[in-house]
Amino acid sequence: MSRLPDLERALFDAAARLDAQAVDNATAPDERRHARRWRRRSAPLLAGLVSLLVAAGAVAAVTGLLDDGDPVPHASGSPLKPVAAATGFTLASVRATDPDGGPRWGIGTYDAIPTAVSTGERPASAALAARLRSRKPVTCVVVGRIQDGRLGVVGRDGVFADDGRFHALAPAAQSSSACAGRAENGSFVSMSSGPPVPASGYTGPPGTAIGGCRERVNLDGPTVSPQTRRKLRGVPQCGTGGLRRVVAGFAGPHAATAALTGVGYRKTIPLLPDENGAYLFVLRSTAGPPPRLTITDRSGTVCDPFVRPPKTAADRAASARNATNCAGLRDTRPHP
Amino acid sequence: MARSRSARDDAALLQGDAHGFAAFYRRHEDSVLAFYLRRTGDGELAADLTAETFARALEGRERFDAAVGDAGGWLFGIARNVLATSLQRGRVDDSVRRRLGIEPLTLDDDAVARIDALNGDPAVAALDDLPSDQRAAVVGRVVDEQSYAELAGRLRCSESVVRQRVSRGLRTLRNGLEADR
Repeated sequence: MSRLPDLERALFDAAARLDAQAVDNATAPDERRHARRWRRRSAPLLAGLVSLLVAAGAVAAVTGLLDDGDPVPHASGSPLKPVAAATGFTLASVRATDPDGGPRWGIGTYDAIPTAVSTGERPASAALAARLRSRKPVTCVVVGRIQDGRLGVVGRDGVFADDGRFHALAPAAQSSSACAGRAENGSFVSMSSGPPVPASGYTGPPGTAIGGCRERVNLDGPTVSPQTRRKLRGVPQCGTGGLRRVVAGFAGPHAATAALTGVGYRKTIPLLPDENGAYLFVLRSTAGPPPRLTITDRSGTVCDPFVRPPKTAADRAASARNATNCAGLRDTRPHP
Repeated sequence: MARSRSARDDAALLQGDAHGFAAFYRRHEDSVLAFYLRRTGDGELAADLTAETFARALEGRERFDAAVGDAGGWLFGIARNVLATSLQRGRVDDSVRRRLGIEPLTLDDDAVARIDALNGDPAVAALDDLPSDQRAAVVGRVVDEQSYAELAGRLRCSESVVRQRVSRGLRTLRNGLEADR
């Protein structure tokens, strides 16, 4: 075994990519010949096409569509990711606009097989830990920018050298995915809250060639591990306008609406049972208290997925007046 | 002219497939890491420089010519260039790693400790202080276990000159290590 197995693996991957490229190049001359022939035949069409493209550019400026850039490369086996290769990416229909415009935000899921966590990092929950041991498939939630039905990131705030393009992304390349098991009937509930994410939509490993910024955290703080400090060293902090509070998840087929309430903000969206109640809100990240999410189920019961269990009598009285937690949404009976 | 099996293997690994290159990396990882560790005194920096060195070796492997020299020497030529460029710029050059899509290394404490362990061998450090001709002869004879004839072919000199360089190199090493005690 080498002293730096990660480097050995990365070099192996790079060598394999170069080998594959060499094979492609060996077959390319034929393709280039075809391309030259096509150019000769189609020259008269090009002038018309150029004018169409100019018109399309004007449309793009209005619709927020961006030019495509290189796809985001696969993360080289991030050891902290507790899932193996993803399959079956499904994009929910809910969208949220970004405060700065551009491609809208979307939410989707992919299925994955849990892998053993080799770095000593603890899985996020006991349930996930049990899944890791059983190696049963899990469903992972992923959020990003959407263009032409594809998940991706936008070249801004240091991502892809601020090229302003849309870069398609493999869902499992995002680090912010939350994974959970599905119920026997296929229903899926995943409601978790996390820190603000970069406005680019890229939440993959920091400090890679993709670039990007990180959340504002005090690296010298007592709760930051040496590993994290080392990993984030040299990664710039996101500016004030470069972070988004993304409130997103799946409230299950029994959920009817999701409402987000913040300072000067209130929005309610209807949820679709066929999409396991996918919800998504995107706001600028601000210093104030985080906005509050409430879910209303089909019987009219309102719940707060992040409400804490009451500790005192006063808390209990307050919780009786306010929303309950959302345990009822995990009911696996068929929805009416 | 006969060339050593080790040098032939090196060339084949370097210019082979991805598995071959990984084997080439494993074979030379320690020596390159130790080379940088002795010059920088910093395990993380040594790892970064090593990563760029092997990335350049990977990118430029088609330019390697076995007729001109052995792959180990060629690799150390790259290492010296990477070090010189990085010192000149005041930061570790990572241009080739970026080009090849190799992500920056994330080292945990265990990895840093494994690199620092290379520093604990005074014989390796003393070997590095030898003049380059004596170092090549000693490494070839003692570490790679090549015959004097093979070494003479590789180093392009007579067998008696190789014997002399090995003898002088070992004497210098012995004297240096005894003086340290």
